[in-house]
Amino acid sequence: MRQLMLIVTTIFLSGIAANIFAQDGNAGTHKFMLAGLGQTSFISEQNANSTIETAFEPIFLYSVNNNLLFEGEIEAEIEDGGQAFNLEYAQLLYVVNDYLTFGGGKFLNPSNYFLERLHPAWINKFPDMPFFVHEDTKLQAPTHIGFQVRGGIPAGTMKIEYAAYLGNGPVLMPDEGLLSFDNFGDNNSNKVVGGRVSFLPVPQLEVGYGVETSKVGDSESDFADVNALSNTVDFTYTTKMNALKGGVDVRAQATWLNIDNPQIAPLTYDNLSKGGYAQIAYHPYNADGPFLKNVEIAYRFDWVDPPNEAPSNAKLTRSSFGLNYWLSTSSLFKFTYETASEELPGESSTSSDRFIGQLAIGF
Amino acid sequence: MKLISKIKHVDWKKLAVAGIVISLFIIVASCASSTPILERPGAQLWGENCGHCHNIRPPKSLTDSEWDLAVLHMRTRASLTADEARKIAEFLKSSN
Repeated sequence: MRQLMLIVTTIFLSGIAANIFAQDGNAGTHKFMLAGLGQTSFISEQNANSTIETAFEPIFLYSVNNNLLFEGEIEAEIEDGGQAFNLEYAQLLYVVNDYLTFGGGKFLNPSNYFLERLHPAWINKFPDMPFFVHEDTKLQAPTHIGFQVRGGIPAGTMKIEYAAYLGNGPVLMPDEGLLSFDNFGDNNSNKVVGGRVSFLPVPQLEVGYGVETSKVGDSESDFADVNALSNTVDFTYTTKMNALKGGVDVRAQATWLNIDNPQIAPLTYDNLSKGGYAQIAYHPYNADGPFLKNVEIAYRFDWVDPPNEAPSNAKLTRSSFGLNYWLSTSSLFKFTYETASEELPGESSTSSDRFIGQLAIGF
Repeated sequence: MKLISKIKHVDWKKLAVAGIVISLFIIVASCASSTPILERPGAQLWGENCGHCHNIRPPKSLTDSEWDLAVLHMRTRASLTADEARKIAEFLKSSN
């Protein structure tokens, strides 16, 4: 851990030096930049001790020229009573032509719009992730280790975006009926194949579809032929409304994960899990007065619905009410009240509430 | 057959509702006049593309060199076309 911290500190200082150099003298053709985010959260939950968590996630960007980019993010977190230090992503990207970029390394899952583009604390309207992309529910891999191609294609006033990838893929955990996404090594020679295509008929609107599939069982096990198929649809509508003196942001995403039923114990049930979220936010950034224009209100509904026969079969639903105050275009206070419901098959549901306050900054 | 067995899991009623909602958004959004993407100026592309996911940052918040790198990063992350990335970078640097 200390060695890693030393490495990060060294890179951090070299980033500062590079920036000073770039502004003061010959900037050169190689470019380096330190970006990232930081956040601290206070969490007060019903029937649990309140706690404070924090995270620092530096992003290193380095380009040799306009076609070759390296990007890497390290995630250092203090949460759940412990400290975590992870490589969020690290990949080399090569712009092949105007409409095609090739990348290799560890990258955010391109088939999942929320995970790839909306999860950073200063972008996410809420201080936590929706259930269906949370690491505990294991519906979709947050990252892949492999290769990807992607790009955007204009078509008149419309635009199409695409991404396709292959990687190590998820690993089946038969006892739990779930997938593990700690895919640092592959458990079989089959690779996950996936992609996403989205359509923007107008700039404000985007509708996307993502899919990924792979064999997930250990190659030496009875589950070697078990396949997992994940489908995701996403929807985004962001617009400025003069009548409301601000912007409205509507987003939704739903995921279906189907793991084959091999009829071999303990996997003797149809294993289809569902989850998603829908969210609306309003930010009156053109309102009169310095206070109101920095205020944003948001509402989110999210859920996960695992199969009844699975060991972890609680159906979760949650409503989140957010009040955010923007300190700058990339830093804000978030105040969120959540009420969640958990329902086990054949039992009445139980609910719990919690409050989260978060200070987040992107740089 | 595998594909058909998976399709049967789809909740067609919910999909139909989602389709109707999305169609309404398309109709409403299409009422706004729209210029072909290749003819849009950098300032417009900056607002449309960057503001699609997050607040747009002021041009003066980064140096020209940093904007080159940030735009290249976002070109790959947000699937910008070469024309969009070039115009956005030029706009940001010209406003610096």
